Amino acid sequence: MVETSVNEKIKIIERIIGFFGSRGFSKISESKLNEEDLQVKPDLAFQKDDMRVFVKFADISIVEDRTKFIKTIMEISTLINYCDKLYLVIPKFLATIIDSDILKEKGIGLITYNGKITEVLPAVSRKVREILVKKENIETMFQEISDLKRLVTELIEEIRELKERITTVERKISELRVVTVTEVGVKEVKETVTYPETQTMPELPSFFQDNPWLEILSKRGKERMRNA
Amino acid sequence: MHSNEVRYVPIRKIKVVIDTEDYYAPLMTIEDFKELFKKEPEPPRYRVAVIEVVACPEDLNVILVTECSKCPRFIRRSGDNILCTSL
Repeated sequence: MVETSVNEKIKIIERIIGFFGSRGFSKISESKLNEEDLQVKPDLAFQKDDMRVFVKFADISIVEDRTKFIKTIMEISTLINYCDKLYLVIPKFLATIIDSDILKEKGIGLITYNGKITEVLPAVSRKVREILVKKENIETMFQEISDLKRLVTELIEEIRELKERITTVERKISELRVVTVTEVGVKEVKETVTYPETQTMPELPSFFQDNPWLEILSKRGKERMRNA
Repeated sequence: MHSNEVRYVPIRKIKVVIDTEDYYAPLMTIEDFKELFKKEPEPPRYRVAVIEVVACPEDLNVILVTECSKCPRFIRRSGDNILCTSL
């Protein structure tokens, strides 16, 4: 396929000027545009009161030449920051290949030509775009708030579970203390109840063996003797 | 703009395997190719082309998406749909 010929391009430019002229727009001259410090120049520019419209052309070569395609995309994305409305003008054939949804998302208008000029996708003005961006931001904020709410609910739930666990652990610890104290008590009692060692006499009857009274009673007589 | 009803015509994308060494080999979809030959259509012999077609709501003929540009009812492409008016 060949690029749009110069004559054909001039015709299209004239038609585009006529299209915007019928809507009350006047063409901004190239010299006036050159005075401005624009990074990228539009192919056509129009003015109506405070509204400024830029127009960018693209032909079938953007499909054939990858570099040209990227360059056009970059130019469009730059131009949108310097005007209120931006239109992309393409041959009708190209409109079957280019997904207009992408342009719609960015507020870029689409005009096709094939003998006649047709605005198939109206451009969105900068003010509306800004409002849309704000709306988008608000929606994002709402989304973030709902995410935070969900997170807080999850945290509360986790804290509740942790509290329950702590209570269980505390209860178990206190139970363990009771057990330890009881054991210690028993040990002490056992220690206090131990009897002094006595000499075992195998010839004595069994009821004398380990009998504490035997020692005590055996000392009584000796004490009386000492006192006498 | 278009005052008539706007129709959304879905685009069907068909991945077709082309045998560059045998021009008489029938065109087949990538799924059919894999099923039949039990392999991937690897280059350089095989090439995969994506063909986008729609069923024209006017005459129900299957046409290439690019052919829509010849139709006065065609508006634009929106994702995987063709937008056209019913006159």
